[in-house]
Amino acid sequence: MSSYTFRRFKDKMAYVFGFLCVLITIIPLGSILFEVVRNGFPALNVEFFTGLLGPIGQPGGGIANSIQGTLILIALTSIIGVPVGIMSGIYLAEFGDNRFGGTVRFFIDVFLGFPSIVIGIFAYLVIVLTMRNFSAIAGAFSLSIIMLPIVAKTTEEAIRLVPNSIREASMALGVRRWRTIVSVVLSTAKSGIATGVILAIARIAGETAPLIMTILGSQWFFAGFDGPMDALPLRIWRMSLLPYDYARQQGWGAALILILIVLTLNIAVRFLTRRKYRISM
Amino acid sequence: MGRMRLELTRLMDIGLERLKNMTLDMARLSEKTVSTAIDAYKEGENVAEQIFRWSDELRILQDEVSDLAIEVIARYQPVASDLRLIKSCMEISYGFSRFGRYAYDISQVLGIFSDISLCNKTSIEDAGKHVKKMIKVSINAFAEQNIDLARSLSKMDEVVDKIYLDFVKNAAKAPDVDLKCALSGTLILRYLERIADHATYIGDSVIYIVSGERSSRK
Amino acid sequence: MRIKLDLNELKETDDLLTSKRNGTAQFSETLDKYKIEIELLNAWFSEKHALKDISMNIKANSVTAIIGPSGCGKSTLIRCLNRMHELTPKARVSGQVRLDNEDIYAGIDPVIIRRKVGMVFQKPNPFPTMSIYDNVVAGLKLNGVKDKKKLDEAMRKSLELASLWDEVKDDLKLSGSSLSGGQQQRLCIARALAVEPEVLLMDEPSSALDPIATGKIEQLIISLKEHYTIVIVTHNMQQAARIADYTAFLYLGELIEYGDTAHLFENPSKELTERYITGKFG
Repeated sequence: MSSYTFRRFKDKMAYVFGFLCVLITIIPLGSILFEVVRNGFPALNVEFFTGLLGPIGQPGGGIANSIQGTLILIALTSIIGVPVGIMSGIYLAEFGDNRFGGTVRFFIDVFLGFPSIVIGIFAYLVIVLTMRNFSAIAGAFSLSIIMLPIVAKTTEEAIRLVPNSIREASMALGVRRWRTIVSVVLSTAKSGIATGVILAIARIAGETAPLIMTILGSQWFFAGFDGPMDALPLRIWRMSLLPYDYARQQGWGAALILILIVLTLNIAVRFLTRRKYRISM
Repeated sequence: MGRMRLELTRLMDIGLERLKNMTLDMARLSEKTVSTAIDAYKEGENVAEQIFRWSDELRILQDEVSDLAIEVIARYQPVASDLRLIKSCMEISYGFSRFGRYAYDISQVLGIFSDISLCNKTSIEDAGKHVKKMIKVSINAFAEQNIDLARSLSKMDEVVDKIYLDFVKNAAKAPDVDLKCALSGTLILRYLERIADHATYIGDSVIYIVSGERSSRK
Repeated sequence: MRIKLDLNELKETDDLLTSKRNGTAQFSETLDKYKIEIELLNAWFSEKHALKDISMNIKANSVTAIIGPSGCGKSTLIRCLNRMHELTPKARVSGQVRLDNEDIYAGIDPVIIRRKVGMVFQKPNPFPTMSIYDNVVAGLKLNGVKDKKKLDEAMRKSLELASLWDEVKDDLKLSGSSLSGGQQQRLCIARALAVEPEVLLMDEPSSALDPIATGKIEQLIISLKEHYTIVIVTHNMQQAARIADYTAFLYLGELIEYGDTAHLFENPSKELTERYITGKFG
């Protein structure tokens, strides 16, 4: 065939190949979602949402305390991790073009890929042994160590994306540096920052290893910051390993709930940080 | 092949070169026209038709220079020495066209006063020599953009003025004046004096191109 | 100069003009005072010596243009006039810049200077997350002004001064970035004017705009000089020739020539200026 036809063929082949790769990526993700919904949906009923874990082996009961636990953990972790993470990101982006900033960035990158079980063990040693108890504090502590680098890094990147011309425009109006950062830069970067926060929350909502070492798990509702508590990942893990059908089904149900929580958070944050003004005349 | 030009030729330079060349063409033609008219008067020849054609050509050339100048201004937004050059070319080309017009007027005198062969032509010859020289100097001043040559023209103009005024005064005072000679002489010297004036104006324009100074008109 | 660029004068009737000439009103022309005096200004970017011993005086209520080839220091020069130069890391300044006789580098808070000396940039940069209204009053709001009535007044006045009011008065809630390039630039001008500066610095304000938008900006500049002193950097010499009362030519960080625009473009004193403006280099 002519060279032109051959080139068109190669072009088409490259396109087809790329498309196939995308499919290969999506199929497992899609099938996971599908399986979770398929297996988890039947477990959903009123008792599932309101009841506590019953005696093992007996069908019935619910994951109310796990849901509560996960939500409390997310809230507690975010209170620690989000402000500190965002501030670090702001500092690195606006003032961190030096040796110190470079070092901090290096450590953040290291921690981004750190094994979470090691973080769990660390929290166990520092908090659990000191308090002589498994607790929400220990859990939030370990999860915030995971959350911090994610929020800091994505915040820094979002702020760096704000064009310098915007900063200059604000400074040229006689607005002070800190006010420029807070009212102009942050406001422009807010959707990027929010994305980072959601990413971090989604990550910590599903972390299981640290929870094993820090909150232990519990059959009861949340009973104070200094005692053990339950959370969805723990529950999913334990239920799925039990030899009973009802248990496994509840495990799937819990997984479905966990995914739904993260999805809701995602939508809520996107809604809250949308650009409030119409773009076109 | 040859040295690289240190500065890029600008688009405008094409127009400016043409403008300069057209003005120089007018310069040579007007010089020829005036010389012919003066010589013809001395010899008593009738060259009116020839002078008329040349004078007309000069008028047409002046229009072309004017049009080209406007085009360069509209298209290239010239500034500084380029702008001064264009303005001066318009003024100078007008000057050369006046040369042609006065040469024509001189050539007409013979037609009006049929026989003036017996008149005393010394003053006129004298003035004619000076005027021819002034025309040459003004053309060279423009061609070389020579400010010293340009400045020398006002002194030469004073000489021509003096010849003219002296002739007129004598003609007015002389008891036994031949009217034909007096009138024709006055007319021709008047035209020569105007040619000399325009030659100085050309010098002024050259000074303006080079230094940006304006000289005050007398 | 033979052409007096004063659009307001064109609009007035004859008798009004006569009364002005009789001395019952003041022409800015006769106020022979300098708004900004620059004395031996030097500026560095770490080791690079960007401005060398610049000394020039800028007349009040005039348009002064700064021209020169790329990299000659024009932007650096105006950024020294509102202390924006020092925001660049490793930037240094020496010399004096006197605004109304007070050196702006002598222990005054730079923020105060920047409120008196506003700036408009080459690429229009409205705040993307703010509406047109918020953009215009941003300088006031971010500096603590909360009175809604004051803000409304300032917004209206600035938009009118910037010749933008009629075009946007019904759409004040639209995002600032929804306007066309020329409108965005006028929005930025309105924003700068809202804080009531005395001087307006413009860094190639129309180089990113089409010729019609450029024409509007140029008319705007001439109408603004009645109330403000304007310094404009431009790489477009014809623009300087059109709108500036005074023009300064900078080359490699040095001030080569500075004077009346008509004189500079008809008969410049320096050979280098002549070569630059006739396009023989640069």
